[in-house]
Amino acid sequence: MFEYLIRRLVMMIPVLLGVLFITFLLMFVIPGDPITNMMGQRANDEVIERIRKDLHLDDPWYIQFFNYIGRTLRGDLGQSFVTHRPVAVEILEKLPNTARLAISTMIVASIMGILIGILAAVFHNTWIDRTVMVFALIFISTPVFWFGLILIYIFSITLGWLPISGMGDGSIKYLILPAITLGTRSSAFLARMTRSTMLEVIRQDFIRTARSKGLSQKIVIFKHALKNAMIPIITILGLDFASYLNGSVLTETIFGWPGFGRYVVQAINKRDFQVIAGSVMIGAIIFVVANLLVDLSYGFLDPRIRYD
Amino acid sequence: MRSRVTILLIVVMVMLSMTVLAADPQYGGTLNLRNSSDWDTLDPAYASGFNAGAMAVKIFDGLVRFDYYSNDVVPSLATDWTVSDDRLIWTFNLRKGVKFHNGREFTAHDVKFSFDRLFDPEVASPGTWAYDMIVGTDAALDGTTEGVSGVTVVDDHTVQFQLKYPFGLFLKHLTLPHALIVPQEVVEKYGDLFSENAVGTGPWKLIEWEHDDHIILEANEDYFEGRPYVDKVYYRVIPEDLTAVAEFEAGNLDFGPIPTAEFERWINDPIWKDYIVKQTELSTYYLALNQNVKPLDDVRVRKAIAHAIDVPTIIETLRNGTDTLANGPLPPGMEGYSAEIQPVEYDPEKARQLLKEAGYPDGLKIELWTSNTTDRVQMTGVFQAFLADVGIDAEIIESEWATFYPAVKEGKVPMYYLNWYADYADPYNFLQPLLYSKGSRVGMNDPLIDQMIDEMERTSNPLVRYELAKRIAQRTFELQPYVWLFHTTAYTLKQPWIQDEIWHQMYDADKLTTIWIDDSKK
Amino acid sequence: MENTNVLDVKMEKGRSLWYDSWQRLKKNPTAMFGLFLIIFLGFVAIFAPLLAPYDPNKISLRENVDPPSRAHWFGTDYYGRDILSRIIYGSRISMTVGFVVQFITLVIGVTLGAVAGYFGGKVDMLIMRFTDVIMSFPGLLLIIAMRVALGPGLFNVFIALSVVGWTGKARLVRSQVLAIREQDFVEAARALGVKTHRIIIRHILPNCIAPMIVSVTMGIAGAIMSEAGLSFLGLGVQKPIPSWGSIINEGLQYIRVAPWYTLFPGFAIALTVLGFNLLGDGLRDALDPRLKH
Repeated sequence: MFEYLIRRLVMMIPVLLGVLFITFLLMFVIPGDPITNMMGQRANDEVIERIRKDLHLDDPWYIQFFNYIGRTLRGDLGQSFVTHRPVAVEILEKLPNTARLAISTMIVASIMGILIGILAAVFHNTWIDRTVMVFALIFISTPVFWFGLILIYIFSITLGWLPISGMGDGSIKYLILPAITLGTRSSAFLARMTRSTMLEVIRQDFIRTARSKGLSQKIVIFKHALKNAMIPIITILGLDFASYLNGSVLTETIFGWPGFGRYVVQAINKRDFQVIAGSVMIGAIIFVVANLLVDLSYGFLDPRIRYD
Repeated sequence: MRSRVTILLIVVMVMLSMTVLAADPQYGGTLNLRNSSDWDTLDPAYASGFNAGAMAVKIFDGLVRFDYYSNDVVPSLATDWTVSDDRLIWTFNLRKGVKFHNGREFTAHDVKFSFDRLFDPEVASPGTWAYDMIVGTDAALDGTTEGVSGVTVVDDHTVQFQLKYPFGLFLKHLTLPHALIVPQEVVEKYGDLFSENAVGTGPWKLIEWEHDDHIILEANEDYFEGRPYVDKVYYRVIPEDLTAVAEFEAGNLDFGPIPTAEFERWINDPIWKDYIVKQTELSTYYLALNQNVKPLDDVRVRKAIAHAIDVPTIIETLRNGTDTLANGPLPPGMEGYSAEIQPVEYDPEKARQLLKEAGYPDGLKIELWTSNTTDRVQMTGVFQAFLADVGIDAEIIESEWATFYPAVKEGKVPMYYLNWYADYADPYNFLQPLLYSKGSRVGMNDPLIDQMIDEMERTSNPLVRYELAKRIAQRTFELQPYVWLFHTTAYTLKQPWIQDEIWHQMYDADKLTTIWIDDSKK
Repeated sequence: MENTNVLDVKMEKGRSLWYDSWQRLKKNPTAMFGLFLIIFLGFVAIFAPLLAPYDPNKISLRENVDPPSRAHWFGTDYYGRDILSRIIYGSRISMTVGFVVQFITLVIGVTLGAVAGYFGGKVDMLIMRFTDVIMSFPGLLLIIAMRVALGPGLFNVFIALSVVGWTGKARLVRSQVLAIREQDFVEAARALGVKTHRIIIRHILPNCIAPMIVSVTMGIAGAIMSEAGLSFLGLGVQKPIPSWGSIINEGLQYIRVAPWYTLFPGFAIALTVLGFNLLGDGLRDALDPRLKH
């Protein structure tokens, strides 16, 4: 187990290096210039050149790449070109906002998704099952940004119950619509997965054995089938959570949510290289760690799984 | 019976006195304002954008500032000044007893420090362009000397600027946010984080800045012009106009934008139409035609493009009829504006004719660049359609500012849609950046215009400058380096309880010292 | 000669598999509905010039943002262009992006997956690490960055979406190849001295076709959705080419005064994506009867 963990952590290193490498390549082919951009329309050309030199932006890309890795290993993610603030500080400001949205989304998604999935499985092959599954597919097929707009139109504009966008004073009413927007889609995936895994498990022998022992059908379903369905459910939840922690650009845009995703897009737009590199790396770490956690959770859910 | 009358009388008197009181500004309350994005910085040395500059002037003061009700320059940290006969030495007498927010007294050394800092190569300020007429700035920027030799402290309350050549607009340049005065010890303490911990002499103290969310300012009780009426200003970052206007409707914001898409609805609203403030802006929107790029080197092609676009209809429809049709580079209300020049007519037939004469009977293909903000992209789409009508196939290149602007600056872009807003109200500030040959983004190279602009820079007689401006505008009419489109008017919603607010054409004029909240209307 | 016989036997078996699958698919009403939707949209895309009531790019500024009427069923956009006509033409972009991107990702994914699975060892490790790297990027952000780096244009949208889209297919093919590689008929072909690339192309890949068809069908839905997202962010195809995502983007500012502006293009996206997802679901059930519940 411990050995497995170490091996997985060591395997992260080349992946993260690869992510950084591609990010650097991209930043160097991306047209546009962060310095001219940040200096405004009137700045003196010589000053612009001097800044470029000071920031080592005129070094070849591979030198910049190695310097960046060196600095990162020392725990320094550099400074934003635009705000002159440490990138790490800025990321730490944005992540909690995104985390709030991600956590609420996961709550919506897991409750709705699992319940609906169970419902469909219990009423397998009835009209309930079919309706629920068609709706799940409709929600999967609906673009999030458009679904968000419809929710805004209904609940904010027409009914006036909830704010249109932003985070306001941070109260929960600002969170409801974005969390439902993102959560609905996740829950649709989850419902389908829960249903199909549970059906698969139900068909397996040990369930029949359990039933012959005289346990009521409901207990069978919840105890055995659901427990076995947890592995795919955890996989979906874990990976979705990681991707929401990386910021859902479209949802954050629609709802004006000051999260991580929008922050990175703004950095791309301003060519704020230090911010882009730092954010992409943090994002990749979140992904890789989430993957690892999901894998580790299998062991807890199913003791037959061993890590060797 | 008698007691009833007395009570009635008292009530009437109280009510009367309340109305009388209401006419006088009240102290107290919190202003709720909105910004569409976070502030890049509050540090005057870096404050090159409108957002940063507008906020910096609340916290800091310069030697001079704009009058709140006109485009005149009036004293601020300087009480008065003299100019030598050769117009090269400017001597400023400074206000005594002014204190920074940290309690230290402001002196001439702070002025010297602020200008030295601007030209410190380590600081690398984007604002050096505005003061490069001061002696010693080049050497300071090179790092050969420490500090700007042309800025000298005469005594604690007198500072002197020595110029390389007479510069008629020196005072106007001193109103820019880059010339705001910063305290040395605080700057040195915080370094790059000075912006987060801004300390100035201004009417407002920075209390809290949560990035991408809000800034809270608190009234400076000791402000030398008297403390602001309002106790606190709460600025919220709200990117979307729709959200902002909804917050305004809910009473959570004191001012609200009118989204272009909803213009009709607001302007016809029975209640709100009386609380809409109209403000003409010193702006010019244009379509730039780069003479360095074929086939735009041919003036007939440039004129054809100007004739092909139906600007009046665009203003009437997409701009909701709020803007003024442009007839040249200068907006009306700017000195030197000439109403006699007729705008280029919309005449597609003539455009086709001109293209034929220029040797493009079958039309031509050209790139049309824009940055990717919604309204700009929307506008270029219309140009594209109008140009297609006369046989010009315009390919829209839509990119982020960080790609768009450097390409424009290098003079590589054939045709682009952009605008110019005044840094200060003087025609020179429009004509020099748009039409001067050096650093031109559209391949301008007209000796006549260059000579007139040079003259504008040197003369200290405003009347001469305005006369030259008229002649330059006339000349651009012949050259057609740009299609002049329109000058904008901003429409803003305000709450009934907001009183005596300032509507100034310059973004950096208002220090929020006159505005007050009438609680009786809340 | 001999190995062709081996193959023929496989093909024979294959044909009946396809036939059975088709029979199963036909009995699945939701999948057939999806297929019908796709055929309908394909028809709309091909015959757009005949179906659209107006020129989709014809501006008419004085009629801008008119509500749905008899003249303009879906209303007009901010230039006074007919939204119905733009949605009809927009189907071309969505369909093209869906199919082209899936074609590119299929080629990349199958090639890399097959090579990794067949050769194993260092090659496998390199390719799979590369796949991990791409998958560790936040997907949409990488697409945005690619698109920004490449500049505007339909072709660049293809590339940006493809660069991110191939990883799933590569993994799928690799796992299939790993499973098939050790089977008897492949061993036999190898023993008969058949060249490696022939083994991969003629013996191993045909066995990956079924899961690939499902993956491509679902992938088209995904690519259409991604293109809509890119266009919504203003990073899609160039003006004035109509694209569903950009119509929604344009209509965004009018949501309080003209909600129908964003409504119709959204329906178009959802319907198209639904069509491909329904068909994909049906195909999965039909091609792999074991999974059918």
